[in-house]
Amino acid sequence: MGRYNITYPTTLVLHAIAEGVRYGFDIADRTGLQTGTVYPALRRLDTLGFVRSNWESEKVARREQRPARRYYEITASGTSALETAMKRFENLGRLTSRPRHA
Amino acid sequence: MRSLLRRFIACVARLTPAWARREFQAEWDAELETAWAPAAGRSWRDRASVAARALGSIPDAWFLIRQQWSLDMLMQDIRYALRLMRQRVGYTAVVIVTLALGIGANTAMFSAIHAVLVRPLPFKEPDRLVMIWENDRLNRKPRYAVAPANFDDWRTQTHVFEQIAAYLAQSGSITGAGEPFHATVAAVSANFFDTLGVTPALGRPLTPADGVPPNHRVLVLSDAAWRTHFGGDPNVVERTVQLGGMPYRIVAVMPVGFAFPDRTIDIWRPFPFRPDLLAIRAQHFLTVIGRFKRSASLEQARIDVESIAVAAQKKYPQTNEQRGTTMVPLQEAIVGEVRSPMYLLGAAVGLLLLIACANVANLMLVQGSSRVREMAVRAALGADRFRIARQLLIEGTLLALVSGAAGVALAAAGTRALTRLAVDYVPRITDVRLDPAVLAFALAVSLVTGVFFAFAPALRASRSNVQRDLREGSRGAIGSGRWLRNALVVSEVAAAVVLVTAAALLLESFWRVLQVRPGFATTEVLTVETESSEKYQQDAQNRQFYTDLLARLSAVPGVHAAGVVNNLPLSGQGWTAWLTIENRPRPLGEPPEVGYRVATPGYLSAMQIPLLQGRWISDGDTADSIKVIAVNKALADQFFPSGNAVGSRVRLGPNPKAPWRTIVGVIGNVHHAGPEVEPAPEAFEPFTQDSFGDLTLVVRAEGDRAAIATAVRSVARTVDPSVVLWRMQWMDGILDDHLAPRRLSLLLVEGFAVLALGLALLGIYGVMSFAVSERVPEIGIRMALGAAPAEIHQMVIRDGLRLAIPGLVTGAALALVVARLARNMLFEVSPGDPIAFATVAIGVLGVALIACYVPARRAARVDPLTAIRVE
Repeated sequence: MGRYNITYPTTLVLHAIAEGVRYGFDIADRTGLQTGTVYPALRRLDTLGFVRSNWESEKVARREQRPARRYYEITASGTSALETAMKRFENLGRLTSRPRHA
Repeated sequence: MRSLLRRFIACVARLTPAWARREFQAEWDAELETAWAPAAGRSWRDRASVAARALGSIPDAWFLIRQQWSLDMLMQDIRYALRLMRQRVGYTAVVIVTLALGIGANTAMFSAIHAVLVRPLPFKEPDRLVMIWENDRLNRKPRYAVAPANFDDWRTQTHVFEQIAAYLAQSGSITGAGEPFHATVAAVSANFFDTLGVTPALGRPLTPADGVPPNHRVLVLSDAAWRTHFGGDPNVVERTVQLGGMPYRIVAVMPVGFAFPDRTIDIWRPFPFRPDLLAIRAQHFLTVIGRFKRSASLEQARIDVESIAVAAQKKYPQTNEQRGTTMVPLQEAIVGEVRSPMYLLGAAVGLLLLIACANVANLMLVQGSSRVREMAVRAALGADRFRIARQLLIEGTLLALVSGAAGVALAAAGTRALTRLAVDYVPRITDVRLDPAVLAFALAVSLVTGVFFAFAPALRASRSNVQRDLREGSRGAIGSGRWLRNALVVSEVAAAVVLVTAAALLLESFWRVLQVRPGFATTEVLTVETESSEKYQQDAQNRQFYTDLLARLSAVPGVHAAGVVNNLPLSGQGWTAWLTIENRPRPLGEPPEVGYRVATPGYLSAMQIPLLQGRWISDGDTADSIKVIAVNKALADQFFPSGNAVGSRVRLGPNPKAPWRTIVGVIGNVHHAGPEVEPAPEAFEPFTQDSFGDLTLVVRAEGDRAAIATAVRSVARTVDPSVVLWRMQWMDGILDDHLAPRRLSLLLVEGFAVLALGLALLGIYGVMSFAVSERVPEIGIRMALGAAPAEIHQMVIRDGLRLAIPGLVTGAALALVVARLARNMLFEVSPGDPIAFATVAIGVLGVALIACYVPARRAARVDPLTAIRVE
């Protein structure tokens, strides 16, 4: 991937996915961001190839009595992009602390 | 509540691009559903927070929409379009050439209209400048030259004008500055340049003191005269030269591009308005301009000057009773005459562009039909209609931009040619530039064109039915586009008919102008302007020079006759004077005005003007013999309807003590102002019995033109080496020049009409051959069922005429409207002239038949067996 600078909220979203948060609304819960911020960030990460998305199997969904949801996973290039972004935002100090204490 | 959320998401989903829509909806539904389940039994606050989350779908959708328009995707479309253009070189070339012609013609015409009609005059605050004429109600001449006393009234009594200036055209030879040259001079009031708000590039502006004799002997040079005759010498100011034999000091050089009253002016000089001159109220020879105050409006300015004129009507009824004023903004006064021809040409090129667009749109539709399957495949692979339509729009825009660039190149060449052709007839045409405004126009036209002709196929593509198109390929979509193609051809034919009709009407007008007998010979007549030598202080000496010259010229082999006149036909110059008839009560107020010229005995036969009654001026009419005058038929008919003109006595001019002149003969009417202008009453005096200005030599001679010209020149030099000869022209050349503006607009419209007709022919041909090729199976069946080839042939022709005839009818109706609007460009041809319309109808139908012939023959040759097997 070329040099793409991702914004602070997008980094938050990517970080949440890296930590294993899979669904859009759950990412919103974890990061404290609005859904209207989370989703465009997800689209952008997807276009950049930093995350990939997939649909759960119907079976899992039916077992939990809900529709199949789309889940997101971080890719290899996403992991390295996250590292770069973390370094970039390091000085701000709050990046790593906030999700951990959430 | 849940279903409400669902419906909301469905609504938002509709905004998203088709390729993302299904997943968008599924994802948001699933997330909301999951979030709702635990919230269901709880407080309204929890439920509201879930609902609030649904609002996030809007930024999400907006992101997807933006992505659709992202540069990446746009580039992809552009690359695809470029690849297509390379693949279809022939088609692309036809499109680009057609559009480039349309865009080029429009850009050229726009740049001319912009430079001449639209762009403000290059003077300070030009919207406050006006031209003021006398309105001669008696002779129905609303733009009449101004008498000095009236000019003086206006400028001293006005409350609304800052400045009122006057000028008149003169000419004279400049000596004492290298090669002597004949200069066109504007004699101006000292505030002339101040009124316009221009300052010289070199030297000092004129001051009021320059208008007061003897300080008036100063000159201002035009940039062109300065460069041509003074080598652009920066020290030219303060040099002294001779104008008409008198010393003048050069005080200034005007900046390049300053060309008022027109671009022929070499020199401006202050006109000495002496008190006796400013008292003249019966002679009208000034042109007046004014600058009204910033606080005033044009209407106030008009009322101001008109009220001064009304006061003068009461005060000086002898001279002013019928004289009002006419005021026109200066720009309108300068370019008003060319406005309607230029707009007509602008409309013509506009129509041409429409035709070009219709043709290209049709080409695209036909191409589009062969691309139906391609589009269907793309749609099946996930491209939404919008994306496909956009692809077509991008193709169209790219083509149009390339054509636009080619068009601008054509326009650059076109305006250069146009400027060269029109430089003498169209004011300000030398200001034509391909400036940012023109380029912006070309870009706008190209883009609108691109959208216009891509629109039809795009519309089709967005409506298409993927399943059917995949199944049936190009065949399936054929019928659906037919009405559009036909409509395009019909409008194309209509537009072409308008242009061709305009061309026919102009051509007929021109032909009728050529049929007018001007009343004088145009071939074998050489004319030379002369400027009498400075050393002839007395008229008698001057007359002796011309008498000697004419006598010697008559002896030159090949010369049949030679004469002199003070104002040549078609020269735009002419004098007028009050006509008083002996023993007839003078009408109230101003007497009628007639034209008059001063001539020699040889003039009549040199110009071959017929003598109708009595005699012409003869050698026996001398300064001492009784005063005589010859009149033209128009004067005799108007003032002596009983035919008793010869022998009656008249007086010319305002002086009631002037001697009576006996009318000795009546001659044929001469169209002095041009073949298209009805001759006015006119009189001729012998040059021995009146004063005259500069004279024009008229020599009737047969043989080699160059040799005759040389002979005339050398004879003049032998009589007097110091004589200044200039503007040596043959009469037919003068007539040609006079007709040139009419011929120029005729040629341009004619050219556009031919192009339009050619394009319409291509349009009909294209649609008909496509219609035949799509109907091959049907034709095959018809033939198998017993239709004769001749019947098929007729059927195709009939179909073609079904397109041509509605186009013809619509076009003729439009043409009638256009012709009525442009009526003043026609001469002795009514806007609804049946001959022109019939010719156009026959011509256009003929073209339609030619266009249908090839497709019809192809249809008639269809082999039923092969045709049916294709099915």
